[in-house]
Amino acid sequence: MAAGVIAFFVLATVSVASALGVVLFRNPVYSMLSLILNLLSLAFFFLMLEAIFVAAIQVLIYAGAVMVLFLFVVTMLTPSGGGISGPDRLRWQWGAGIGLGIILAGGLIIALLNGSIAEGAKAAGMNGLAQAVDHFGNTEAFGQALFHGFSFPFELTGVLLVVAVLGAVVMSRRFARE
Amino acid sequence: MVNLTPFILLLPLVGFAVLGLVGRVLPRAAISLIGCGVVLAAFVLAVIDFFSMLGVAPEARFSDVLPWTWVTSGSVTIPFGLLSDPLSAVMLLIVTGVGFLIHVYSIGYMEGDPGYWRFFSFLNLFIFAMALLVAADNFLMLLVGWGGVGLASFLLIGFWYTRPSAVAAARKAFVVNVIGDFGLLLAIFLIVKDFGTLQYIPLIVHPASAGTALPSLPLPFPDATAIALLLFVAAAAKSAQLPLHVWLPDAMEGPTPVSALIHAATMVTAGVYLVARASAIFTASPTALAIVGIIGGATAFMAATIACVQTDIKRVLAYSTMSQLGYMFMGEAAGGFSGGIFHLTTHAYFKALLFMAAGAVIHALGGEQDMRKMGGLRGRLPQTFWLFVIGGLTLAAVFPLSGFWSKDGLLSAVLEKAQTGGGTGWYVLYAVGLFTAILTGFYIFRLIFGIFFGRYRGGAIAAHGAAPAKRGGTRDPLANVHEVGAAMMVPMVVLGILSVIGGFYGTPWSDWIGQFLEPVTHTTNTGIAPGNGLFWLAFVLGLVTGPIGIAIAWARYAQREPRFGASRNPLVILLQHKYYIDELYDAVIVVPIVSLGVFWRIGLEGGFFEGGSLGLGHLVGGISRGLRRLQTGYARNYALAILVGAALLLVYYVIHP
Amino acid sequence: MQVSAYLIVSALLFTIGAVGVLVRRNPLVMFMSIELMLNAVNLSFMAFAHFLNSVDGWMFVFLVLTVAAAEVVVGLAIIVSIFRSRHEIDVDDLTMLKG
Repeated sequence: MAAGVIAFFVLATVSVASALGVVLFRNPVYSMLSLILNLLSLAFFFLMLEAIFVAAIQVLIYAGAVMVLFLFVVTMLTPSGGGISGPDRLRWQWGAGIGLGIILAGGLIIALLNGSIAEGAKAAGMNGLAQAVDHFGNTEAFGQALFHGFSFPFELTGVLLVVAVLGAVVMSRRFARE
Repeated sequence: MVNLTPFILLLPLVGFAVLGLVGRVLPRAAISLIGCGVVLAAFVLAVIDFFSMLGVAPEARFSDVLPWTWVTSGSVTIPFGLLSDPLSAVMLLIVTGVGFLIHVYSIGYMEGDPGYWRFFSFLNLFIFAMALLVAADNFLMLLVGWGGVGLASFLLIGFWYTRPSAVAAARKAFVVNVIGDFGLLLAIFLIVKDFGTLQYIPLIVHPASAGTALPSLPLPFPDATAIALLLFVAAAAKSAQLPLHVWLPDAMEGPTPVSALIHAATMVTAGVYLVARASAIFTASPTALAIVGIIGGATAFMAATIACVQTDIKRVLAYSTMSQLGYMFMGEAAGGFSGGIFHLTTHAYFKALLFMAAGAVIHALGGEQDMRKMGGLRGRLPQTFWLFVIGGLTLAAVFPLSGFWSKDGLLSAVLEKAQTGGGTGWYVLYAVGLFTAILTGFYIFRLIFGIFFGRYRGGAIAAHGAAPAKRGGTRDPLANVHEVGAAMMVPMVVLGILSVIGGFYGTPWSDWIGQFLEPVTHTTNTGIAPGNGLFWLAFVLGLVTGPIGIAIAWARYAQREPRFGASRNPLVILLQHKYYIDELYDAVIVVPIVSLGVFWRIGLEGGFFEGGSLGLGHLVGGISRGLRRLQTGYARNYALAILVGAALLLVYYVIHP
Repeated sequence: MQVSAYLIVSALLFTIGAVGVLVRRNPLVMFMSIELMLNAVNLSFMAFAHFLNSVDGWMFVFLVLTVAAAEVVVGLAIIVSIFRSRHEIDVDDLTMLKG
């Protein structure tokens, strides 16, 4: 268990640090790269939680496809100096945001540490993830759940993606009068 | 006998509708033809009605056309009926006959007015409303015609609606008339309450018992005085009696043919007609008759005195009308109902003639109405002058013109009433009547001498009308003054003839019109009979009063150059301000009502209601303005708001797990 | 490891993402912060799935992933078209919808 604990803390440190990097880097390209690191660290978390398939699509789709698209747009739109020029008209948002962030994080951690959320959650559950994984293997278990219990939401994701693609095409079209 | 009354009503109504709907696009000749034609046709029908009525016995001269039932309410049934009887026949002859002459006159007078079609349309409406008023066979339909006449007079007085004074005069006439309508309505309620019917037959007209007592009307019946006085309120408003006379002089703002129509053939005669029509009710209440007599006498005298100092020629005639109507009410109060109608007919002739002649003078002078700027027109307008003189002599009741016979009949009825136990008050009324007769002669010949005699006092008259301007270095200011055309002259000549001969059907020796009206009016007093000892005294007094007034006017205004300037005489000033009655009404009625209205508007509505509602609006608006500042447009601010909400929920959850 | 440990990391990541949305003016970085928040929630789902022995958490992660992909596609298209018309992508300049 000691190795697992060490791995957890290393991953936690990396993910929080990279998340801060996303917010704090002035250059959006650095933020972008920091975000990719964050997503990769999350994939390792998923591995630790024995979700091999999810970890794989996290790396393939999220850190791979989505972030490549993101990076493409960022490099296209970011001026050579990087970042946005001009004074910040909402400087006070920094104070408000950080203050609220502390309240939010503190509240969440207090709520988690006094255990009520976890206790409530523990009472539900127990419908045999471990047995399914043991019986079918990890990816098959995912497929079983997706195509049996969640087939309707799965179909809907297809519709959602089609609509998103159409929307993107319409919005990025160059109109004749432009 | 035939009863063509429905068609007499229908014709002017059709004329009104046609001219009102499509008159704008019709040529001028077509408008004249339709406007005058329908009235002429109605007059012809009225004449046919009249002569067929003469052909039957007096008891059979009643024909009630009941086309359909109009109102059924409980036990009260009111038909839409038209009654043809001697009274309505005479009235229809006057309304359509004199009305037709005024229509013809209007062709000339209104020539060139852009509202030509509108004018004839309104004139036809006026004739229709008046015909409905006199032909109704019950009080409710009378009320319809009554209101219609008020409406038509409103439209015509305010015909030149771009003049503020005309609009104000029209409004004044309408408001005062509505007071009268209100009185008539209340009287109708009381009649329904007492008798359960509004039909003239059998309520107040009894063909079979002509001239006898009224069997179905218990004398005195309850509310007799109240009903009679309410009816008289209505009559006073229409016929411009004190204290509801204030609209009549202002009504001179309308075109002159309208003045002629209102003052001669229609409108003001409605009150006299109503009293004669409801003679049974008035006879039942001596109190009401006494009040009618007092008001009639007072109006006759006051209006005549005011007429003596006016300088606007149409206003002199307006006050003269008031005065003559006062005579009619005085005579009717004495019981001489047929005498009142008789004077109404002769007055229709000569007053229409006087107004037309005055209109001709105004027309010739290009719109000038002020006597102070006239004078010496006798040579320029000879025909108008002589017609004016005929009208003036008739008004002044000079023997043997028509006005003499009718006015003499009224005064004689008052004297008869005094003699047969009416009390000394009637002697006073008689004396007032005689004195007013002197005033009448004075003011009308003051007017004639002022217009036609002496030296011309006005400025140069510009070319106008059809006649071409005379050029060539003439320095005569009256070079462009000319007589009116045939369309205006012919009606005046016809009326002049009628004024001269129109009195011979009502002399003391052969009172043909009194006998003709007898089945309707139940006249209790036909004046002093020729055999009475006082007869010749009264006759001579009537003979000399008018000429005395004329002689005074001759001495003051024809012998030397008249002066109409300002006078320091307090009596004259009082008269020039018409006894300050308008000012009194302003102070007592208008100002308090207006102040009350201002108070409601500013104090109650402005302060309370608007303050409340507007305050609420301002409150919401203020809050909204404050909230709008939150709507900054910065997407990040909105995100912050979301996060604040989330943080608050979380904090609440932590504190209350 | 306790489930709470994962959840605390998730909470921290979520908060950092939320603050990032508030403080950055660049819409691209704001989008990245939103991705952070989504992933923080994903981590919670995975932790619960594991410790509660339920496969439902995986499913939600899958759905969130799809929605995030769609959102990125549409959002980036919007940003590109804004840039095309204004040549500037500061969100503070887009204040036309104020009252």
